[in-house]
Amino acid sequence: MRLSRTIELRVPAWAALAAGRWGGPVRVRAGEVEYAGKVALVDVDEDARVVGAHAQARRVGGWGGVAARLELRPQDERAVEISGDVSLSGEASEEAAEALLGGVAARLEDAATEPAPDRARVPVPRVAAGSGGEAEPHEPSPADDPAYRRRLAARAAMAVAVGAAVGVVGAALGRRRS
Amino acid sequence: MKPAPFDYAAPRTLDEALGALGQDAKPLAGGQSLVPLLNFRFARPATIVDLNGVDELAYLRRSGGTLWIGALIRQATLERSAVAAAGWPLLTRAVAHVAHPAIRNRGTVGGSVAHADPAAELPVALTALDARFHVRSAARGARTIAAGDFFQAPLMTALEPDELLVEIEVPPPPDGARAAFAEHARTHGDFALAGAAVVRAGTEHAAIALLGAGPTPVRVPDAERALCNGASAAEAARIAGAELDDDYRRALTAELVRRAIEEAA
Amino acid sequence: MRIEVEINGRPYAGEVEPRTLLSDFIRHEAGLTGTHVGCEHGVCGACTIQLDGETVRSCLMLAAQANGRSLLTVEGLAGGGDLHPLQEAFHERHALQCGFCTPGFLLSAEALLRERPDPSEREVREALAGNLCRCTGYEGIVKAVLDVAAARRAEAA
Repeated sequence: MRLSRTIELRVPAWAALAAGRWGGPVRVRAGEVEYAGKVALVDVDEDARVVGAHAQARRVGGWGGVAARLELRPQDERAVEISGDVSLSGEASEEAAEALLGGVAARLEDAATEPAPDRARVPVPRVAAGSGGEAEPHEPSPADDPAYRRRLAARAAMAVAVGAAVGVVGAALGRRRS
Repeated sequence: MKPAPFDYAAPRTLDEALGALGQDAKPLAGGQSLVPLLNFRFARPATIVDLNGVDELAYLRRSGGTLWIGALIRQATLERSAVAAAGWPLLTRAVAHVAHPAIRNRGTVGGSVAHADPAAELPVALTALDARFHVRSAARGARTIAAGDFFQAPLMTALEPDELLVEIEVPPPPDGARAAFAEHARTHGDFALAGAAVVRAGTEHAAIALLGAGPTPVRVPDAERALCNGASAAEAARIAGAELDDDYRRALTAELVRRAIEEAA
Repeated sequence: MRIEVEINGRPYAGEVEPRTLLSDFIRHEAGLTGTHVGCEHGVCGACTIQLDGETVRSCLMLAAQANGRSLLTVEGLAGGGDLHPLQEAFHERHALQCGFCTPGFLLSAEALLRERPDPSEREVREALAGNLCRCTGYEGIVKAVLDVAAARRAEAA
């Protein structure tokens, strides 16, 4: 089914859409039923001024859900038209389709009001190989040497070949006897 | 088997990610090629730099007629993209052949290119599209590598250990261009035995890139010229496969090229 | 390091090493052994789960990458004690024997039917090509998935 709605953002629409920080998990209700999934930005067409997105949500504890390919177009400075084809599966109702669109709209509105996260440059914390203990030095191992690994592989291949040859010879001898 | 122990870093910005890379610190994107190597201990880096939090690297954008692909964009996202389907349908067709849906939901376009598996579809399609790869390192900044120079050997590219592929630039297709992708695998989603990516625009432009015909994706300029000079699909396909020694691969490749040329007519 | 993951609507937390695979976290830390490990390199599909409603190979994700995310495993399919229609259909159509591949198939099929509620047989076969079954020969599995799609069509009509 084809659905559309228009929402007002509090910030310039195209910039907010194209920045793409509004995708993420979606949890909505259609009556008593909960649907959970996510909306993701798919592509930004700067030339045609349209953003593509994909949204889906599963009926929690039930059968089926909703999925939609959406197009988001700025209508003027702050308005965005969200439209697309929504498929319903299982027990999902048309209310669920509207709810999914509502969930997408909510994510857009939320992202448009929050300031962009501060991406201060800090050294990236590193989690050590052990679970949360002191950072352990990487223990050198014979397996780190590519030449050693190649020798092992060659030995393994020879072992397989020898084994196969023995098997073939054994089978041939066996057949001749019987 | 399980992976050998490694340290784990999860940068949030490109600069943080570049600062964390090095000789023994491998980047992790979709993980659909790297994690199997870790699980089998064919790769034992001291550190894994998880790029999945670097949001600024994941995008798909058409601007000025050019397609700009952020390296961390999921293959499934490319598959769904109306922008790609309209302007670069070769990519849409090629990515549909990559493994299976669950793999494509995590696997990234940049990861497939940087991993450079000789049976991979995206490197071949991007080679046919004359893509340019934008690469960054903390020490040397940005550089750009053409597709023809990027893939050097199976699983080897022109990337230095401290470099990240950050963006793939795909130029606007020639007017009237049509494209087709054909591959043969034993079952749907398997590693391909051979394949062909074709872009043609009448007699003005022809690009044919082969999968499985060498250690890297290869263009076949003789066959491309023949097509532009009016050769039939069968004749151009014969030229495209001519360099292959193996009878089976030569016949299979020529047939796939022929089908792709006819589909793109 | 400590991670917190929501699985089937419930929160789970645990200590993991960076190298701990998500499949192992699900099975050993969360105790949900319905997710199976067949190959640990992504080809068999037995470990398939859903992350925010999309199928992924849990053997190819680090547990750390699931921190703060929402997962669905086979244990979460049946709501309130009733089998999910796919589970019913698998039962009716003899789509499982040993059952090892079945959880992966169920989650892959569930995701397929939400994206394509009315798939052709070919689309079902291609979408499920990433799940391998050694017992059944796949016919029952394909029929079961098509049955569920048909049931939706019948209800919607």
